[in-house]
Amino acid sequence: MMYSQPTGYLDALGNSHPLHPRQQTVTSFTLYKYSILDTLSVQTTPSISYGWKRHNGSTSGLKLGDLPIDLMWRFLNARPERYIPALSLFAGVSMPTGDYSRLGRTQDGIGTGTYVFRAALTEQSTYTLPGQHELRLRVWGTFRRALTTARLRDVTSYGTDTGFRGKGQPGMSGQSGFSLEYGVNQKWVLAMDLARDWANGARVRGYDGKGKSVDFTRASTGDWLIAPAIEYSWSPRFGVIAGVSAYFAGHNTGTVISPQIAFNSVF
Amino acid sequence: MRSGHTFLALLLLIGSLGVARGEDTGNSLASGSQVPDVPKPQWYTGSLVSPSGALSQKGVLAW
Repeated sequence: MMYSQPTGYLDALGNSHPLHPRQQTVTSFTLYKYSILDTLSVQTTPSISYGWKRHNGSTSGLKLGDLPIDLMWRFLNARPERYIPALSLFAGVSMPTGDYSRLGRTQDGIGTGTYVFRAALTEQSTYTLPGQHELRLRVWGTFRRALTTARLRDVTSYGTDTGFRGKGQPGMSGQSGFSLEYGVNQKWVLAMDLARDWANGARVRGYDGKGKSVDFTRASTGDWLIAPAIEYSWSPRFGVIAGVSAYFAGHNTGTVISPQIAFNSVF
Repeated sequence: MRSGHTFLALLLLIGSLGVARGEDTGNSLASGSQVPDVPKPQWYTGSLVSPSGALSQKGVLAW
C-alpha cells in the first residue's frame, strides 16, 4: 500500500518550484510470484489506485493499472565458496489494462494503452559484518520500451482534450539502483534503496477538435530516489516492511514523497 | 539518459566485485551469509524499490 504526493516540481534545469494543487494517490500493489523451477519464476503485479486533487475532483472510482507479467531467470547461482553472487534476468510485458482514452475525468488516465516490453538485470549478494550482522546488496538495471501504439480519442492519459483523434506512445524508460539491507538481528532489518529513473517523453500525433494537426514529443524526465525502510520478519515466510520513498533530485518531474507499507509471505 | 547508463554501469561493477558472497533470492536456508557455521539465516522481506522487492515504484510504468 502506497500513498504518494508531489511536494514540488523540478524544472528542466532541476530547479525546484512549488506545485499546487497536488495530485494525491493511494495505490495497492500485490506482487504474486510463483516458482516454476528452482531458477525460474513468473510474477505479476496488479495495481489498484485512487487519486484526488484539491479543487479538481478525483478518479471515478478504484482504477486498475496496466498489468505487468514477467519471467525471472536466475542464470547464475550463488557459489559462496568462490564468492560468486546470484545474477538474474527479468523479461516481460506490461498489458494495457489501465484506462487511457475517452476518459470521463483526466485523473482516470493511469494506463498507457500500449504493450510495453520490460527487461531487467539484477544482482544479489550478502556480506557478514562484524558482530554477525548480515548485509544484503541488490543492484539492478531495468529497461522498458513500448511495443505498440495507443489509439487515442478525446481526453487521454497523454494529455489530449475533447475532440482529439490520433495515436500516442510512451518513450523508452528505465531505472538503475541498488539496495542495502542491514540485519540488526534475524527479525529486524534496516533497508535503504537508491535509484535513478529516466524516461524519454511520450510521442503524440493526430488532430485536435478543430482539425488542426498535432505532433509533439513531451520532454524527457529523470529523477533520483531514496527509500529508507524497516523490515520485520517474524518467520522465514512472513514479514512486513514500512518506509518512505522520496525524490531528491531530477528534472521535469514532481518531487514525490510516498509512505509505503507492505506484507510479504511465502507459501 | 547517459548519466543513468553511467550510474548503472558503476552499480553493476560494484555489485560484481569478487568480495561479495552470493546467495539465493529468498529466505531459504541459503539466505544470509551462506556461511555453514552461521546457525540463524537472516530473514528479509525485500526492500521497497528493488525489482523483486515488496513494492513497485511509480505504478504502471515501473517494476
